[in-house]
Amino acid sequence: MRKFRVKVDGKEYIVEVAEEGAQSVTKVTEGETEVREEQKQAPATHIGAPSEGNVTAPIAGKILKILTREGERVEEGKVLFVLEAMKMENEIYAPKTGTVKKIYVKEGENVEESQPLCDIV
Amino acid sequence: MDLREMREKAREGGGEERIEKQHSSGKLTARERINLLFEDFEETDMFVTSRCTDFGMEKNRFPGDGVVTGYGRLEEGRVACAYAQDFTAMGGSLGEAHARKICKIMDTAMKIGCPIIGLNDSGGARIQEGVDALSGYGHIFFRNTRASGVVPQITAIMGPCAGGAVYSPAITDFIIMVDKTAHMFITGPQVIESVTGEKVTQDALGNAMVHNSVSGNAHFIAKDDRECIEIIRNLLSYLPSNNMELPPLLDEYSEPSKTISMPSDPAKAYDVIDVISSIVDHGSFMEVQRYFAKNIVVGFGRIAGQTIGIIANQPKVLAGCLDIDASDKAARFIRFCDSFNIPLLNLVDVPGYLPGVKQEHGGIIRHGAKLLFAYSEASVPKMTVIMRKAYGGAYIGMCNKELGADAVLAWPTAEIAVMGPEGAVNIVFRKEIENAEDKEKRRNELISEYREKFANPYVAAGRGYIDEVVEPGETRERLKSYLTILENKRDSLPKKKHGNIPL
Repeated sequence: MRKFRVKVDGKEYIVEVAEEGAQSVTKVTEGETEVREEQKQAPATHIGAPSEGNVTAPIAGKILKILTREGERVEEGKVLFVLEAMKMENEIYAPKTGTVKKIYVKEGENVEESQPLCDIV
Repeated sequence: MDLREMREKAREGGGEERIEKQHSSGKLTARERINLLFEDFEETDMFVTSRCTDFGMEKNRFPGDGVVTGYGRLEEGRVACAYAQDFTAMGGSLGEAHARKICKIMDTAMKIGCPIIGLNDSGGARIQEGVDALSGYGHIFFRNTRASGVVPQITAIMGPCAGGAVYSPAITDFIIMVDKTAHMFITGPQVIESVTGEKVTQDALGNAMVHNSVSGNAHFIAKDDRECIEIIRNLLSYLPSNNMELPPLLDEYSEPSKTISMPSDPAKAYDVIDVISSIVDHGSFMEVQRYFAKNIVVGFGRIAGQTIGIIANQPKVLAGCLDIDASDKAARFIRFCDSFNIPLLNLVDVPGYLPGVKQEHGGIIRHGAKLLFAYSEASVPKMTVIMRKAYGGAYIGMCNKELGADAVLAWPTAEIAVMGPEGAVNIVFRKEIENAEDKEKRRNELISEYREKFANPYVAAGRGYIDEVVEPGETRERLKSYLTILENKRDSLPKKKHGNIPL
């Protein structure tokens, strides 16, 4: 929990802020009144851990084929994209079972390494 | 108390309540783990206790000082030494006496030449013992290093393992982490947050999967304690007891049930594990570091009952390119095999090194150099099979004839060349293509000419860079025969303290 002194329109507030992963709680003290605000969910931090729902390009190359469409229910391991790189047709698989929410690329598009290809939720 | 009672007291560890707690958190106790690992086990130093008197520690003593040590027989009758930290007694924390027990059993293993197995489950250094605890870690690291390459060292992480405690496992040959209960990190989430402001959970920082897939610290992941012990037993079955012995030779084995099938289109990927399964004895492949640097596959297998170490490019992942992590993973595995007289089988289908600024700045030069160093240094039998692409520097990096491969086989689908046809044509015929009326057409003509002429194994075979061109189906029999003739291979390095591998 960290305390901040905040001035708004000349009026001073003591604000205590604690971030607890997904549930950020902001406590504002204004004289005697106490205002509590539930902040919207902060994104979970992934340090080093593989992200689960986002499919990204493992290697720079060209999207040859898109074998899924938005809204499709896919099983883990299904081939979603064919990415041409190093003169090979690399198959990009669904990392988990779910629904393809958004596809960010088009066939024939060149992609960089780590560029998002689609989201699975 | 008579001897019987004293033994009983020692075997209780931290007492019933704490054992209950250990069980309810999904963990077995140190002695339960040891009993699963060994057919029979003799415990040593059961009555050793701490001599610390600071902070009231004289009232908080446990016979055995929070670690079970001893030796025993494995399934196949061979001897191994082991220690198992007892989380129920002072959280398995490491103090002076605890460390001395571990050192003592390691010294025994070195004297008799048997594997050392460490089952870690410890809260870390026993703070009350101060510098004596640090001294204890130092003694263990030193012995781990001196034992490296003499006897196999296997470490299981079956609970917390943080701070200084992580480095003993890291020096050993293999780390197995148990899912959910095992964690490893140098500095924990609280310290990280207070110093860098990064918020991270213990799981995201260093659970079993993070170290198996991201950091590459761990080699295996087990779903629970039982599976972890199973993995250790299985792993040991491939290994000799020390560097003066040969790995166990199995009398009984069955032929692989699969036959090799390769896609006819060189741009199509396949799973190299299917190829491995069709070469080694049925069901004998044990993959090491399955989740890390998946563009290269390493692991143990057997051909006609004989242990081999397999290093294979995986065309299914990153087109099978070599990169920093793949080089590190393979080089370390090769050096382990060479230390313990395990012949190497290299299965090659590699388009080159992974291009990119990240790779270059990350040090692919010095990391990739490890692979060349490890292969060149290895004096065990080395057999290379070129399945498809073997381009440029990566062709050398996968142990070609010049790095000392004793046998180099190539399949008719092999393409041994300085680079792929497209790249080569663009360089060699740059002017000709520029001057052509229809540039694309001329380029394609030249590419197919080049492919016809160079993208095959026969140019290299004509120079003697490969020994034989064989059908995929003939590979296993040829390897069997090479393993037999190479059994008495003698190769020695110039006398030196040690080489200086580019770390």
